Amino acid sequence: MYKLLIHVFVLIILSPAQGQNKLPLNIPYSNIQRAILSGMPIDLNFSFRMDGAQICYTTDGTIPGKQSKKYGQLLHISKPCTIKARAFHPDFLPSEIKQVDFYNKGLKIDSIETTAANKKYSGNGPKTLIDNILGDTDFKSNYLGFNTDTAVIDLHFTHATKIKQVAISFGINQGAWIFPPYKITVRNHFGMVVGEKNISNANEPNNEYYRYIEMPIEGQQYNKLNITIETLSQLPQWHAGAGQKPWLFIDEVIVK
Amino acid sequence: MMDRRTFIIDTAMLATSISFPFHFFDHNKNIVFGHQNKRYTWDEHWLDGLINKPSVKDCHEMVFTDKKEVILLTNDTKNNILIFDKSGKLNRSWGHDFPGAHGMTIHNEAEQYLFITDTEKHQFYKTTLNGKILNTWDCPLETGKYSDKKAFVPTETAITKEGEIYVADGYGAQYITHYDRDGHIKNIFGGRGDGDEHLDNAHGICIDYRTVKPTLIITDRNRCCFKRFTMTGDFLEKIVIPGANMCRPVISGDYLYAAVLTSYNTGNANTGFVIILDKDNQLVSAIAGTTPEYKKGICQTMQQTVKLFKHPHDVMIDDEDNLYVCQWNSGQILPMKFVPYV
Repeated sequence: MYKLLIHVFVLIILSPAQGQNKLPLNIPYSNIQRAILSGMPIDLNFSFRMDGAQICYTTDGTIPGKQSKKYGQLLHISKPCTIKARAFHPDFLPSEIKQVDFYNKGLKIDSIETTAANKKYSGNGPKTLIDNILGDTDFKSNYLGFNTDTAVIDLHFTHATKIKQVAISFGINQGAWIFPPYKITVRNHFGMVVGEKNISNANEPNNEYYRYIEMPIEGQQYNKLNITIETLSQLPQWHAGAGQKPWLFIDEVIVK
Repeated sequence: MMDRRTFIIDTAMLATSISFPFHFFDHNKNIVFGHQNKRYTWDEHWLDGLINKPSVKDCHEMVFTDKKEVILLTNDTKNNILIFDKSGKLNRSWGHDFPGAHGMTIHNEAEQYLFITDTEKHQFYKTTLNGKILNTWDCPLETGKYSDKKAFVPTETAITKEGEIYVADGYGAQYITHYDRDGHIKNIFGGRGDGDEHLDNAHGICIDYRTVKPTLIITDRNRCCFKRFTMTGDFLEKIVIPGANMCRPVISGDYLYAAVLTSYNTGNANTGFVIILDKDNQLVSAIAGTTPEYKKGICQTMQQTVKLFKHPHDVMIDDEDNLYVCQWNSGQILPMKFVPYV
């Protein structure tokens, strides 16, 4: 009889079915996906109305576990940070991580010009990119959408301004053919390259909804910066629209 | 040599080896989904008896017949129609003519008939339950609302007890065209726009006989609401369920059921759930969705909680209140069955 008991015990411990047929939770809902801090604190609210569920979060970018801070009420965010939150429930696997990023406002850009965005996705014109408002995941507003080989942005500063970094925020939704850029080049008034970034994984599958790309540039005084953003020439082979032109969505340019 | 005692133990071990991985750890069996008096357990095994899984693409809609069969509509032209019994046995199949099979409604006359819409062929049809096409309707050009037959992309029909037909152009120009019992056009209303009387993804339509006079309930999916109209096309009210991109309304008893394709917006993949409203239009339960909550009479934003579904596209209730859910673009999964939890 002991053989039977041992066998049952081993089955309980080793059964591949144990735990694996638990369903995962969906990620928690948040009132904002990411935001630019312009002086006033921003209230961040998570919700996940489900009996027995608990949202746990971190503020330092680490992965939240059951032992992390328990979300109870609004978080007042006043400093740049990355909040990561997950839902937990004893009957289900934890959710994927919900990430909410808060960025500091950049230096003042006096005027901006861009190549023509697609008419359907022209936001409020070029100023869309310097209004301190980030786009949402529905891509309906606060974006400029391009389906061209390149998007070119010219930033103008009335007074020569010392700049060390250019950051550009992109909306991503590969299922909707919206991909990250392939390459970004920043030039000065004379056309000299002062910053450059290759995005090597632009054509790889991902489930991100945005990408915030920071580029160091030669720390000089500038009256003008010219930014050339190159898109993938075509959608990659793994994509349902392979061979066709991807879209590029930009919602903000921040200089520091 | 094996003695009797060893034989019994080994036989018991074999039995446990066979049965344990499939049932002993059937974790989800004990999970209760939904809320209030509309809670369910998932019968994960209702189709286990299928010897060969039938070929399906998107599983778009289902109806329940008076012979207690479950009819499933798929856009797979190997077999557009699959007919199961409640135990999950596949009784028969038919249909190779509907590459864009999308909407299916059952109608009682002397016998039962199906009304099927095809979004690729820009038509809708009346068929027998055995697959004979009796009538075909094309784009209602004579209304003057269409200049191109392909602008008509019908997603659903609703048939009155008297045989009048309403067809929703949910992937096209968003009009509801009303036909008399002889199939002639009586009226057209809805269409795109921002007014209450307009529609944006009029994905489903049904007739609500719970009201004193029958009314129409029409899906306005991109705006996360149902809209109620008179039978002559006048707007009456809006039932908003924020966050719920619902498909067609399905009324059974006092309740309205609907598959919700996605949470928040239709691009938010794999986030569907199911909603159940009472006859006062109050959301009472959500299967795999957040607990319904109202503040000052306003339904709070809903979302998927558990990844039980990917893209639910229709629900069906059988004669024992079992609930079935079929799904679009969800890995060719066959319908799921849920049993009331009491």
